[in-house]
Amino acid sequence: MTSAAAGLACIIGTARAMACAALLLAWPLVVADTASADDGVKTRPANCRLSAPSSWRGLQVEWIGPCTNGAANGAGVAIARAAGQPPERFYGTVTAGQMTEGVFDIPDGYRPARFEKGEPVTLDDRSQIIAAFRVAASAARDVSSRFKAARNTQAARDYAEAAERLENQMD
Amino acid sequence: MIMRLTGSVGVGGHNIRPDVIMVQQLLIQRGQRPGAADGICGPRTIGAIKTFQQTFLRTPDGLVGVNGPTWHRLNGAGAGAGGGGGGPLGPVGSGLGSLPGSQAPVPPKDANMTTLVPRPPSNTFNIGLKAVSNSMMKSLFGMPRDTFSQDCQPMNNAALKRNVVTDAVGSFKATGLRPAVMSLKQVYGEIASSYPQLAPRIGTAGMLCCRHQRRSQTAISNHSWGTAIDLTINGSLDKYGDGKVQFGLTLIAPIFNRHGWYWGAAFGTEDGMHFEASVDLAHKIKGQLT
Repeated sequence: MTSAAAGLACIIGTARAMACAALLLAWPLVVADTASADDGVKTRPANCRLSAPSSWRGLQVEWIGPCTNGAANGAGVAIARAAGQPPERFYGTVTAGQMTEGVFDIPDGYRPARFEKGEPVTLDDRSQIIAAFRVAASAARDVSSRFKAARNTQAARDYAEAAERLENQMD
Repeated sequence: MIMRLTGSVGVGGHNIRPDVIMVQQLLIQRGQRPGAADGICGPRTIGAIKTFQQTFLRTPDGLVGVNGPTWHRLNGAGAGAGGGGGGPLGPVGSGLGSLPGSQAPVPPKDANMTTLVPRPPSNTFNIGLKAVSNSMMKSLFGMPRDTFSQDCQPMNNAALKRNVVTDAVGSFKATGLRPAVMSLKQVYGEIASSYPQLAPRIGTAGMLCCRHQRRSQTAISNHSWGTAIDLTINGSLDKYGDGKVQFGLTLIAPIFNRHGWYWGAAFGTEDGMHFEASVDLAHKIKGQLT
């Protein structure tokens, strides 16, 4: 995912704003900062709100996916970053700025989850787990398509491969 | 079974053969290369001990004391492989903090149990066990249901269905054929004795699920018979096909193997979270159905 990450850095990097203008048009983007917000939600820039789970509080969270009425809405990927640590990703769906269903891709494995009151609930029902991976794979494919449309072939390939891995996880 | 050394192993150690074999096997499970687990403490074994010690000792001495830190790390009772770890919630926060879906209180996470290590060499696990095939399972148990899709569907083979139970297997519940679930309970009991810190962190991503194998229109998943199970540690599913496995899985795989469960880490595409009844265990299960 290194190349995709580089692509994302391109999207949010101010120094490359001109070069990335087309990408910004292609992908409504949220950079949500949960560190300083009392309600856990603060958008930066204030154009697309995303409420991240409390375990991501204090981390820089990016959203690549659709945005409706000022809130993340639809399938995409949220990426949480902390200095010196590998990023965590959430592939899945968001409704009106609230995560609903998907899979966390963390350094030691995958965590499928559905959300209740903004917090992830661990799934232990196999049907639900399979469904969560299906949602996550579809979200990764959507992100891949967005990168492909923007002609960022490396990021498109990375997310397509992520989709493949998510699709294949459950037998 | 609790593993204990009777004497020290390594440089200047007693190097009693069963102890050396135990240390060599544990080193292999942690991704080290001591050579074959032959009970001979030679340069490769000592080198592997030192390499392993480099992850947590400033001055590796190549000696595994009976109750020393190296033994505790090897045996999973201490901080485990990799040394560092990332605190109780993992490196960043790990998505889920308190596992809000859990019913029972769980101890603090041991992030080292999900530290990724290389898949152990194939000659160190599943020894003497044979993986089942679809045709063998169909022949032995019959078809679990009439039609399949990519979704989990109920078993409708009446003869099998009457043997399906849902029961607590330590820290989680499992639904499968009764003898298979009973075997899992025995496995879990041994895990709880040997690795009391790890056992409560084990969960499941499901056992019985009648469906096609991933991306297949014909082959049936072994989960369809309720004789296979996918496990989680700290709520995390080991990633399929990356050639690495969670450290905790390397600790419990030998216990599963002793009870006839085949570890999916050996599949052509590594499936570290998956355990299934081997050919011998499948026959044993069949013999216990009512």
